[in-house]
Amino acid sequence: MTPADPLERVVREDWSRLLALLVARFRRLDLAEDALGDAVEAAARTWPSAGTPDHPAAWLMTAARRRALDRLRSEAVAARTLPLLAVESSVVEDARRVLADGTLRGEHGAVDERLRLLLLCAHPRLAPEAAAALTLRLVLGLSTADIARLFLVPRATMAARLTRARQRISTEAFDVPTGPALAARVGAVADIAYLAFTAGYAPGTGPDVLRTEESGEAIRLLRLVRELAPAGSAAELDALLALMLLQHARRDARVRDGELVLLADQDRSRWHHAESAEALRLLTPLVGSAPSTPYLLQALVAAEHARSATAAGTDWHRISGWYAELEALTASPVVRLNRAVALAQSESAEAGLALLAGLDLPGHRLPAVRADLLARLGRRAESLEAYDLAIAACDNEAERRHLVRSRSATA
Amino acid sequence: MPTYLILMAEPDHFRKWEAADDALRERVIEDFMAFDAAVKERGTVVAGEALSHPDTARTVQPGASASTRAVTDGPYTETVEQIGGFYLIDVPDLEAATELAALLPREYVLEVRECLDVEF
Repeated sequence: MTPADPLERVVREDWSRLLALLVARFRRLDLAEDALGDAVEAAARTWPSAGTPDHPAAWLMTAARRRALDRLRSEAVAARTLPLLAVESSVVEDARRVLADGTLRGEHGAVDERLRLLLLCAHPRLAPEAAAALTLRLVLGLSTADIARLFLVPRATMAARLTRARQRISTEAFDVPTGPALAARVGAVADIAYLAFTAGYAPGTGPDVLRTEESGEAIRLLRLVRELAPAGSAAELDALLALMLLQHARRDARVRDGELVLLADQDRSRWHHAESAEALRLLTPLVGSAPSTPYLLQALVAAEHARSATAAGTDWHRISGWYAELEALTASPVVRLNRAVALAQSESAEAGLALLAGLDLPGHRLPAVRADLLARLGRRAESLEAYDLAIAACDNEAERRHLVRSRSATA
Repeated sequence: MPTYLILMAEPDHFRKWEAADDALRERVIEDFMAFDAAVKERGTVVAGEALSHPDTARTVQPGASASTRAVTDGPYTETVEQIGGFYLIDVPDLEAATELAALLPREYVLEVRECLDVEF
């Protein structure tokens, strides 16, 4: 899907490269971002009447570079000196050359700078949510309003969060670490992409029950990471991309009349099967050869659902197996809960219920699953009690309505 | 320490800045930073601002009362020389202020004037 508007298209395709070059050249995130933002604004004003330039990206780059130099002069006169990122002088020189050249010829230097920008946004000094917001803003050029919508916070809150994040890393190194540090940072970028992705599927309210378009942007981010990251991270990134594609492929079936639809009740003909197919192709070489990682195991679970034409045909036995492996790896109570659901399908409600013994998990999901399993075992009074707990703990309107319906069916 | 105003003017200043290439722009920025550092060795930069284009200025003309004074668009005097910015610096004397002003970008005409020291 490519936007028809030439400005939208160049922003979508070249934002990260232009910003990365400006950051490398001027060593400041705020300056680079404001200058590029001003250039885009100037383009929106002048292109419709003056016509789209022959080289739109080069036009934006020249406008942004000049805007940055303007602002540096004003700051120099006002004797305001702001902290600078640590950037190797050779990188500054490279960026200076590419920017002054006026054309974005080939990929010279630019790929490296985009990777630097991605890794900077994943800096360990930033909390995961702040890092995710900053990455969407700086690497993908998403608006503050869109990012605020994704994370379900007011726009002003997101603006303040972004400002704090920029300040926090304003003197860090704009570089590419080596060895295990690089692998760890690429892993952090992958986690950021997944966090941004799942935020889009956290149920909201009003017209935004889900924010699938922003989740799609997180997939675009992960594809960029895959393109730039070192080969050593390929298996992990492929597994995560497969996981995200498989979940995203179900987007149109997840909401009906403004209500969330559970996996078992979804109309599978509305799944995007071409996207699932791409995910399955990514997973095929990984099964049995790549080390079991949480993303791979989650992707394999999602793949089982994608492979089954009907909910009833799902291979719950295999899914239970993947969850058991995932639980051994993560010791996560959420995974245990999911494994219990799978085991209740592949073996018995009793076996599922046994797995929940002693489990401690805040929120409504644990009592909701317990209530369902108890109902299936005919333990009606206990089931109703669990439903009451779940309904009291649930703060999402759509999910609560669903729980109330299930409770009435039991009572 | 007395305070001095330095006004920076240049014929056709704003068009020239627009037309300046990166190398020239960077030299100008470096001149300002060198000036700033030199003032700090001998005194203080009280304030400094770069001004926007004179086209954006408004001039309030003399008049009988506040409500009848004419307001016109543009600077108070149309000359080829445009004021691009100013500094206020605290340094020991006019001699020092003049020497320091000479560090500012070489294209500029600089007016150095002492501010009246009013006791409160």
